Amino acid sequence: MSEMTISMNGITKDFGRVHALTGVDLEVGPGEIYGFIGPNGAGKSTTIRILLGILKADSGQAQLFGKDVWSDAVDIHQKVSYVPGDVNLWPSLTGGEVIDLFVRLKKTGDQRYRKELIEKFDFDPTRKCGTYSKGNRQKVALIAAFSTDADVYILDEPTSGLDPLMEMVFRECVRKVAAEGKTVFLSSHILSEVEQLCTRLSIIRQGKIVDTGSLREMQHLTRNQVHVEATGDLGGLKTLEGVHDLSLHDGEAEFHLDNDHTAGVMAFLATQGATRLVSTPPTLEELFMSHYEA
Amino acid sequence: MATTSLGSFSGWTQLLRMIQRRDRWVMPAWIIGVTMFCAGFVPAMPSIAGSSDEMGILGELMKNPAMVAMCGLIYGSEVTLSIIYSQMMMVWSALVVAVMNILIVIRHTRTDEDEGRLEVIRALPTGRLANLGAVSVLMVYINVVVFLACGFFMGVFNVESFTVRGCLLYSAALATCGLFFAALTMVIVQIAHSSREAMGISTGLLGFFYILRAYGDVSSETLAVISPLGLIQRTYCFYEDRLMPVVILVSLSLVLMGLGFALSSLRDLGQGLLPNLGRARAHAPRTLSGEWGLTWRLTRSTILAWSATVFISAAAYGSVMGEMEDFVMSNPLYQQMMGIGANEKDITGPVVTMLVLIMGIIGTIPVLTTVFKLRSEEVQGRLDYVLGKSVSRWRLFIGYAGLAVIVSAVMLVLTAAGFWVVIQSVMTEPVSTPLIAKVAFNYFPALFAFGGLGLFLVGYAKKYTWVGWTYLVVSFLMTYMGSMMGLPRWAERLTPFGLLQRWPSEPFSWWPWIGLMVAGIVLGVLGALGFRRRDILT
Ligand SMILES: Nc1ncnc2c1ncn2[C@@H]1O[C@H](COP(=O)(O)OP(=O)(O)O)[C@@H](O)[C@H]1O
Ligand SMILES: [Mg+2]
Repeated sequence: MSEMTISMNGITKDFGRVHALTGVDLEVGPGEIYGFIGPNGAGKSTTIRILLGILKADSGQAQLFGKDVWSDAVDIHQKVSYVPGDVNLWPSLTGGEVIDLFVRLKKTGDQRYRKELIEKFDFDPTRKCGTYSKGNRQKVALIAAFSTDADVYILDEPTSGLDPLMEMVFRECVRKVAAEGKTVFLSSHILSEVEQLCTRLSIIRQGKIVDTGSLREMQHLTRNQVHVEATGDLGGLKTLEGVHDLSLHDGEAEFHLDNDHTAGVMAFLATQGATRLVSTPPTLEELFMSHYEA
Repeated sequence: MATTSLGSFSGWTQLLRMIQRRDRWVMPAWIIGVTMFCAGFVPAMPSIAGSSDEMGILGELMKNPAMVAMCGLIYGSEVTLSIIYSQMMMVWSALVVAVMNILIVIRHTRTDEDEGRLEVIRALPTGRLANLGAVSVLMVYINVVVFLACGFFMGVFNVESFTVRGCLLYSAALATCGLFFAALTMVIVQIAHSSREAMGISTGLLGFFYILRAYGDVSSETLAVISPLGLIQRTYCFYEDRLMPVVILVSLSLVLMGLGFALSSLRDLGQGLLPNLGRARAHAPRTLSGEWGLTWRLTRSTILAWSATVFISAAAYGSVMGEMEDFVMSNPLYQQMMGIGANEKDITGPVVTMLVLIMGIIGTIPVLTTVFKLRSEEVQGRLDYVLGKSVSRWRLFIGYAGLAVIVSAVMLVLTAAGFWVVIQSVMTEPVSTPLIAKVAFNYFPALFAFGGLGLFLVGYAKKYTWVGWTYLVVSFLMTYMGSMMGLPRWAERLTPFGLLQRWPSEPFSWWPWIGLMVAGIVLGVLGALGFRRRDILT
């Protein structure tokens, strides 16, 4: 019996000759907002579709609430809200009908926030889905997902068609369910979103998890961007360990600094009469790019 | 008020050239297809009814109110091949031409608009009416080509009684009917909110005009003339050759096009002039709940449409039973086709069998579409969503399978009911009810087995659903044409419909009946097992 809400162990999936996933491991605890980021085609959707028992993994174990995602799918889904990456709806049904249908298919019968969410997302439920834009189809899925009670929310790039205002509404929804102690699994390639919402994250690339941890842990492992002004000579930085991409102008220097060499560099700067020091941790974007280039 | 000057049209020639380039394969395909349909059967006419005896009987057959309703008017002082052709083909050809016009107009107006292509064009130095202007010219051009091609092909075979004058008038009537629907669609795309809605309204109106004509041709001349589909038959081609209906339709088309331009300059891109009708449903009705409710909602319109088709066709066939028997008795070709010995007297049984067989094959179409709907939902990526909810694959599959079984039964019941209702009132010696019911019962396993095959393909060989359709077409050709082409009976038995005994000409046997039921069940179960195990993939 696993304590984890989501756990995946060595999940592998091939589509013919395409290796979509190789040995994916994931552990998401209850109450976490977990980010899952990677470029297009990295395997995010495949991972999620395996989690939902829509695809069958070639090998490895995947569990939700300690139950097997494939054989116990129907049970599990009563406690899962899912927003797929490509929301394809039935052109002949209205948005409101689809929202109701989804809630009924989940069989929990509860529809607490429907009206409130429709207002918040500024959504017209009386039109046929065939006439909705991508953003509006996404809203259908989001309203259906957040209007019902679930223990875990699995969201596959849920904001890719939304405008910035609606993204804010979305983030509000996520924070609200998180505050109620629910688990959120959010796949995205929009880094600022993950950065703002998630406590922990995994980065996936070409079907492999390349990094996992909290944002802070990840930032620790990498370099800060440092800007310094000093009265003395900063040329000595060139010889110091842990300094990269150095650029010098008179009395100013700009470089990347390995976190574990901070002390040495600080000592040097103190001897050169530093007047101003700005150190910025890497953004998720930079983290991501560093994995991407690797 | 928007000003409508010639400047509004500037740039239409470039737009027309662009449309022609985009559709350089589609247009010729449409025109060739339509011409084939409208004129292609002319050279075959003499073989359908060559002798004047046969023609007389065929004429009688066609005078039947059900045939008039289905096809159209029969007129003239004597029956000729060309007049029979005009009755059998004109209305249906006009439908085909109208559909072509509707589809092309919507494609180049509202679809372009919905997908934002028209916005790009409006941003270029083109007038606001340029696109509609280009489409109008295009539609005139297409219909003129159809007129020339169709007239030429009808006349060129030099078939007896197909006069040059008649052929030209006939194709002119079809082409102007096409132009009328093009112009009507140009108005509709202005008032509808989307291309889907425009399509619904246009085809709905076409259907309405067809029914108006059907009703009018049988009982009210005025109603028939109000429908363009009825009006074109009032050219009385090959008989009186009147030009008036063509003139009326051309004038109406011009008026409608003018209206289209006026409305187009009144409204904004992407908007419709209709008030938002019938779209107020913010909540799902009770019936739309659960996976089975969804399945029914997604398939019901197709199933209902086929049910109506099967019932009406069966009734239409039923209404001509008497004449049909006379016709078959006088035509050795048909006797051979239906496996009737030359000296046989009572041919009611074989005729009923043949009709049920044909209706059964037609009824298999909705069985297959129902089953394959499961796959098409998967391909459209919508199954992901349903299975992401608390829905078991097993129940989802059973829903489609069960519905297919019901559809199989319903199609045969409607066939029997359609025959029965009409035969009771038409035939002097009514066909016994048990006979019809038993014939329908006899063919149930064939539809059932096709359903099973479809389920198997969906579960186990999802890329090969075309196999089901191909097998159905083969079944049709084998049973319908088999004996005519001299195929031995055992070859026919390779298809479900042929495997079953042709009761009552052949003695009834349970073996093929039960065999097909078992095959259907086994295939269905295998399909379910496959579906439960496999990935859901587009
Ligand atoms: N049905 C499929 N058949 C073949 N390849 C697929 C299929 N689905 C996904 N893939 C491949 O698997 C990889 C991962 O895809 P996906 O999970 O959709 O990526 P993401 O969601 O991260 O953009 C891609 O290389 C994609 O081309
Ligand atoms: Mg994806």
